[in-house]
Amino acid sequence: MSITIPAAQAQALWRLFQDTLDPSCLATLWRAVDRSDFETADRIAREYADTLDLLLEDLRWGVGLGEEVELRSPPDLLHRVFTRVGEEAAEIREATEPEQEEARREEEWNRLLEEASRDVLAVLAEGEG
Amino acid sequence: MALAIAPADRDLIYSRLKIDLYAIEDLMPSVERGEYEEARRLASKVADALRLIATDLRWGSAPGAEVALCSPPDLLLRVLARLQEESAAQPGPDVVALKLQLLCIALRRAIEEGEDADAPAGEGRGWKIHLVPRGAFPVADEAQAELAVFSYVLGECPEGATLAGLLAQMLPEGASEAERAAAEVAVKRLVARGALCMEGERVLACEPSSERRPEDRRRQGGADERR
Repeated sequence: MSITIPAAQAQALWRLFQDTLDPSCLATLWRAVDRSDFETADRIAREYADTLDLLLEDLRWGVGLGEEVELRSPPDLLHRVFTRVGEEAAEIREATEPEQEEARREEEWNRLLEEASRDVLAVLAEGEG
Repeated sequence: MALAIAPADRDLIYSRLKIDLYAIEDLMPSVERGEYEEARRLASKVADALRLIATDLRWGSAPGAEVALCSPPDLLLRVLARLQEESAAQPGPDVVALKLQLLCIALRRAIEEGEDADAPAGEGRGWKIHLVPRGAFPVADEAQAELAVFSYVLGECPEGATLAGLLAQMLPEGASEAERAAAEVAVKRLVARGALCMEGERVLACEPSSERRPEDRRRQGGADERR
């Protein structure tokens, strides 16, 4: 089974996983170990290992991501990673939805204000003429 | 059935793997420098360490019981080979590095030979795997000779054996003069490196003797009987 993803999706993944390479991410793991929360430590460890494997095998450190990428990692790893990525993306979308709605409303107000200004000024200009 | 290791052996590997996790700090700088092979090595090291700890060794202080190694053999062999190589490259008299080296050799052999936790005590697990096949002593290989002697002193050697007694029991019957000389040189080299020490005529490992587990002591008789 061959799975290929477009360049844009590969770049989005690389952008997401770059943060994983930050050593401070492991600090979360050690904090879980310190408070004897080994279940969380296990989860973080496995997710981190999966991400590193995907970076190694498929995303190749972000090099040459201008083209589509064939995913060669084992299916079980891909299943785990993309399930997690999908869930995280959905969470982010839900969390940012109110802000986006607000931004859309703000944009609409602005558009109306610009339109009103343009229309009124145009009428005034005609009257002066 | 998975291979099992003693809590002390688990600690030895866990403490090294914890250090390995810090390799993540060098990962991004390697990527930024375009050193992708180095980045690959570091990422693989960290991912393997995380998986082995999460699956088998567990986090934190050692459990009281033996630890089963259930990870896939290729992961175990990869980690053990790397740890063995790194501990062999350790300069100076580092007893812990020598012990780790021995443990890795023993476990790799056990995995490759398909040993499991049901193997007879004294032959299938950790220290007590014979590093040197009976009837042969690595005369031409100083490092292997040292490992063989150190392994014997840690695992099977009767406590406080004299040098002569140690050589007599460790070497196969009818050992040649060359084998005897090589073994004696290996003992002296280990003493010089601080891995073994001499108390009068007695040869001892330079680790607290309490590190040897009580069951090892009990098995000494059995080991001697097999000779």
